[in-house]
Amino acid sequence: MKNRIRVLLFVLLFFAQIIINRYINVLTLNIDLLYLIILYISIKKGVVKTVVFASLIGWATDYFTCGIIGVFGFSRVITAFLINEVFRYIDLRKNIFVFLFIAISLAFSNIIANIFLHFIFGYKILLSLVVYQPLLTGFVGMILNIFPKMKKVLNVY
Amino acid sequence: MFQSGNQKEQKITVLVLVLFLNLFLMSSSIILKNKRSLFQNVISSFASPFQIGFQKTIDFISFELKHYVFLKDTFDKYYDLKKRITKLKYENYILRKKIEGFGFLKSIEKKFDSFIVTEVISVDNSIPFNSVMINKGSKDGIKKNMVVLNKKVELVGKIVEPITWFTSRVRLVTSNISGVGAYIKDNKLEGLLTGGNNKLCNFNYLIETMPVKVDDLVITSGTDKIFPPYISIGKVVKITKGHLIQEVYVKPFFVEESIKQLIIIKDEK
Repeated sequence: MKNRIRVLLFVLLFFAQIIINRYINVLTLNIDLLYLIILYISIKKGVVKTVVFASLIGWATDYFTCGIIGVFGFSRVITAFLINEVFRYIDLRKNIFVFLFIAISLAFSNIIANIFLHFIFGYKILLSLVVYQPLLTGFVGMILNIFPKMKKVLNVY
Repeated sequence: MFQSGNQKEQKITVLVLVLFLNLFLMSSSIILKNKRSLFQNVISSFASPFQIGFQKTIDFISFELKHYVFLKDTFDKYYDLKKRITKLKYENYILRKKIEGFGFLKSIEKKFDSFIVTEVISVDNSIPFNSVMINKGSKDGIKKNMVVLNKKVELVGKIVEPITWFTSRVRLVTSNISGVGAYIKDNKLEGLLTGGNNKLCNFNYLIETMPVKVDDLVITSGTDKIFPPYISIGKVVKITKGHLIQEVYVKPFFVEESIKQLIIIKDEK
């Protein structure tokens, strides 16, 4: 049952991401909801699954953002791997740590992607990608984590 | 938890492989410049149906929503216009009557300021042509004895108890306990119009010799101090000569049409 709800939640996040991408001009919300799925998988699953899923979701992010497949795939894989290694040293019961964990890891992941985009593909260093998006995503992740029912469903601890 | 060296190696291998795959994909984008690689096409083919499906759904919903909003607006406008027409009809009627009988009306300074448009929500089924229930009550300012007209500004009845917060009852002029002071329009012969719980009303107290003919218009006289004068009630449909008085049957206009919407004269100055 919990598993179904979890899958449903991920599907909802996926569609929410599509909606955000579709109405970004109106909503002016730069959030990466797919990253929350990567984060969950990194915490709950083993290295192999983490790396594979991070790559797949990273490709989806590539498709939604710049269209260059591999950029976010690469950065998400590295981040997911690192999260998988270090998450056990962080107290995820405290919401502020959840927020910081999401924001910092996403910022790190986006910096890697932005470096590739900047040096190889000539994109500018985007403040929205490195600062705003991690903060907003961290905030959303923290909100999701606030509800006890959600904690139960996600079974993070 | 300690992992065996073999397991660790495997994990690192997977990580490196996936990273290399991503680097390879990136580099293919550089080589192909702006052209899409086969893999990009695969990814696009996988993700685009979701986007298209989503877009189509959104388009469909917004299209239907726009239609709904448009229809609602149209309906509101239609309803407002209907109200305005009713109001204009009523004003027109009052003005027409004032012009028609200006000399006669000199003493009458009555003027109706406002009215309420209401809907009939139920009809008294057990006693025919007796009363109807309307969807306006004391919260809308409905009071006992307020005059009720139909859309063509013809007399229907008056408000009687019970008046609740949201509903009230209208006693029709065709009710056998109703009485309306009335004139034969052409010759100003006065009498009392009473109902009989059927389609016809009786025009009482008209002496046999008084000249009345079929199709004469009957209007309110105002002498009962409830119904204002010069409101059309109906027309004479049958006359029976009696010993001293004549039996005149009047068919109210409202019985010929549905009484879905009614007008209540709210304030009388």
